[in-house]
Parts: sequence; C-alpha cells; structure tokens
Amino acid sequence: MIRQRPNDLLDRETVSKTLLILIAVAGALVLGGISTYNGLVGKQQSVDAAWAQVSNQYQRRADLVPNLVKTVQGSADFEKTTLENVVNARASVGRMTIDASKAPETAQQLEEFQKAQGAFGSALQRLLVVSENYPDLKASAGFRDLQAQLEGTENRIAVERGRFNEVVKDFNTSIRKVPAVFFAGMLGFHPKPYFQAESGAEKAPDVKFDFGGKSGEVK
Amino acid sequence: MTMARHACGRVFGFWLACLGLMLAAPTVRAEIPASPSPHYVYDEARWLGSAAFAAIDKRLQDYERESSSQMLVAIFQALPESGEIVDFSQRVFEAWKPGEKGKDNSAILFFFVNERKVRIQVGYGLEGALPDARCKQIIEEVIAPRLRAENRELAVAAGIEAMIAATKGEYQGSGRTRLDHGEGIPFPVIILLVIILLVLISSQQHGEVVITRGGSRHGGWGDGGGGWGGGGWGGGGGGGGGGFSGGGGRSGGGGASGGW
Repeated sequence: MIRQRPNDLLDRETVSKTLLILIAVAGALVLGGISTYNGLVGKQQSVDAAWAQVSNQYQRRADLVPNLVKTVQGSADFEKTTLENVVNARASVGRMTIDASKAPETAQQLEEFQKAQGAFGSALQRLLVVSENYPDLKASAGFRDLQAQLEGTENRIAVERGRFNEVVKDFNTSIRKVPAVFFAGMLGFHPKPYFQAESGAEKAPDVKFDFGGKSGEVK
Repeated sequence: MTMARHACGRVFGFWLACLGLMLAAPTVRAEIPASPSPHYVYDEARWLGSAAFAAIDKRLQDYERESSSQMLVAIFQALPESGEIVDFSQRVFEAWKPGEKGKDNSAILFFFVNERKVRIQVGYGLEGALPDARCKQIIEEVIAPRLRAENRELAVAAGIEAMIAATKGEYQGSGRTRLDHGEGIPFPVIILLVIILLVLISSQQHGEVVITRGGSRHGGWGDGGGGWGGGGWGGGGGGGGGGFSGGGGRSGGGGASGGW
C-alpha cells in the first residue's frame, strides 16, 4: 500500500479503532447488564418461591381449624369463648388479601400479614392451654393427632420463614451491589421486607406436651 | 520427569487444600458433630450395645438399598445448652444431608438422653409417608412405652421398623446405597485429576514452562471449582465426613417430638 496521505489514513485508523473500542465497551456493558438483570430476576423468583412456601404453611395451619373445632366440640362443655376466638382469628386471617404467589412488596403489607397470623397463632395457643383442663379430650387419639399436626405446622412455618428471610437477604444484597444498584430501582427491583423476629405474643404456640411419664412437665 | 512429578505434587496439594476448604467451610458449626456416614447410626451416648448398633445399622443400610431412602438414628447425650429440640434437629438434618438431592427422601430418629426426649425429623420427600401425626403415633405408641420399660435397644429398633413400614414403597431403591456408588474418589475429582495430568503432559512437551503454566492455571480452575463446589457436589460432602453422599438434607421441619 502506498501511503499518499498518511495523516488522513492515520486519522481514519484512529477513528475506527476508537469506534471498535467503544463498541466493545458498550457490548460488554450490555452483556454485563443483561446477566446482572437475569440474576436479579432469578433471585426475585426465589423470593417469590420462598414466600409461596411460607403461605402454604400458614394455609395449612388455617386448614386445621375445622377439624380442630369438630374434635374440641366433641368434648362436653368445652370453653366456648376460646373456641370462638380461634374461629374468629382464623376468619380474619382468611380475609387477608395477600397474594400467596408473590412476596409482599412493602414492610407494611408483611407487617399486617404477620400481625393477623400472630393473633391466630395466639388464639390456637390459648386453646391448647385450655385443653389441658379436659383430660378426656387430651387423651383422645383425634386430638393428639391434631396437636401433632399443629406442632409440626408451627415448626414448618418457622423453617420457611427463616428460609424466606435468607433469600430476601440475598436479593436485597444483590440489588445494592454494583452494577445492579445503578439500574435495579429503574427496572422495578426494590428491597423486600423481612419477617420480624417473634415478639412474645407472636411466638409459636408451644404445643409440646408431656406423656404423663416420669419426665413430668415438658416445658 | 522429576520436575513434572514435583509440579504434580504441588498441583495436587493445592487442590487438596482447596477441596478441604470448600468442604470444611459450610460445616463449621461447633456443636453439630460430623455425620456418622458411612454408618447410619450416631451414638454419642453409647446407648446401644455393639450387636444392636450393628443390627440397626445393617437394617438401615439394607433399607436404603431397597428403597433409596436414607433413615438415620442419632442418639445425643444432651441437647446443646442453647438448643431447642426442633431447631437443633433441623440443623443436624441440614448438616448431615441425608437423602437424595431434590428428593430429600430421608428421616432421622433423634434421642436426647438427658432430656428424655425423642424426635422424628422428616425430609421433604417423606412428608407424605410420615406425616406429623404418624410420627407422633410412632413416638407415643411404639418408642416411648419401650423406653419407659428401659428397653432402649428394642425401642430404637421398633421405632425404625415403624418408620420403615410407613415409608415402604414410597421410593424405589437401586439395590445399592449411595456410598456403594461413590466408593473412593468422587467423579469430579477424577475428571480434574485427568485434566491436570493432560496439562502436565502437554506442558512437558513444550519444555520448561511447567511450573509457571501450571501456576497460572490454578487461578482458572479455582474459579471453576467454586462453581461446582456450590452446586451438587459440595452439598453432598462426600467422604469429608460432613454429610451423606446424596446431598439431600432439606427438611421443612416436618415430624414430631415427644418424651418418655
């Protein structure tokens, strides 16, 4: 090649080089952005999946109520108000319009959910405490099974809540990291609320009971 | 050749260290002991005689061959000071990882001798066959009466039989246990070793760059290793003593507790 106008050629070379670099940088940014975005979408899915598990377990607890009512009513003169409280709390939980497939977006939503569920849990706990005064009821196989199911459900709720908080933490951390922090908000990724630690009233009913063996009182 | 051997030794050592770190990291939890793998019974309290231990161990191994489900017995002297039975059992379950990854077809029968407490902790995959009420029933009707009669070996054996009876047919076994499959070096490690060997051989052919090239490769493998470590394999714990080789171990907290 004969270099007739070296300056011009050089310029062109520089320009095209610069262009290439720009394109490469832009490409890298776009690719990086896409993969970050995809990562966030995946994490959001995990949060929703964990939420679905949490709701499942709460639902499962609510579903135990009809059976519980039937069993307890079978026991003569069972304290009416206790049973009514359970039924009412169950009803107010049922009235909640929270989406089971999508994790709550705001702390307030989750708080309301937690409050209603907490009240329901306390009512159940109260019923189990009162049932101690009804030996016939306590001795029945039906009631024992219900107690086991309630206890298992409370445990499951605790486990799934813990897992939910873990994936939420993961999600919240990743939207605050570079580069996601620059565009997460614009694309609709906002920090999600956690379950708060159990306060006294909200604590899972302690439905463990003793077998009348030598160990005596269990908790 | 000596050089290659030297480099090989270094590479191997490096990898052993990496593997060690990867396996150790998730299981560093002071109060949770290593899983009894390859045994199915953990007997910290020396509660079972050796004959009973062996018989129950064998029974559980056979059951895994037959059903692929892993059931374990864990006998602790006492709950840890800060421990609550459900929470502790859950954590042991997650550390030992019994059952197949994705299926979590496993259950652990816990005993806490000082507290006189029993718990059956059920993995997700057996929740259908071992619902809470069933677990409660097994504890109360099968295990507790025998324990009150001071017949602990029978209590453990009968409890296990009841759990087996409840879960029979839920999963199909392959006639082998997971340890039968994974005897010796895990598959990914074999692949790694082969790759290392190939790289070493090809470097050898190119002359004396063995060590630098080997060295520069470490970084790359290290990154890759992190990936599969977090996935299927690291979860299993393999022969590291961390868990059972299936890599299951997810439990939603199902099961029941009781005392005697």
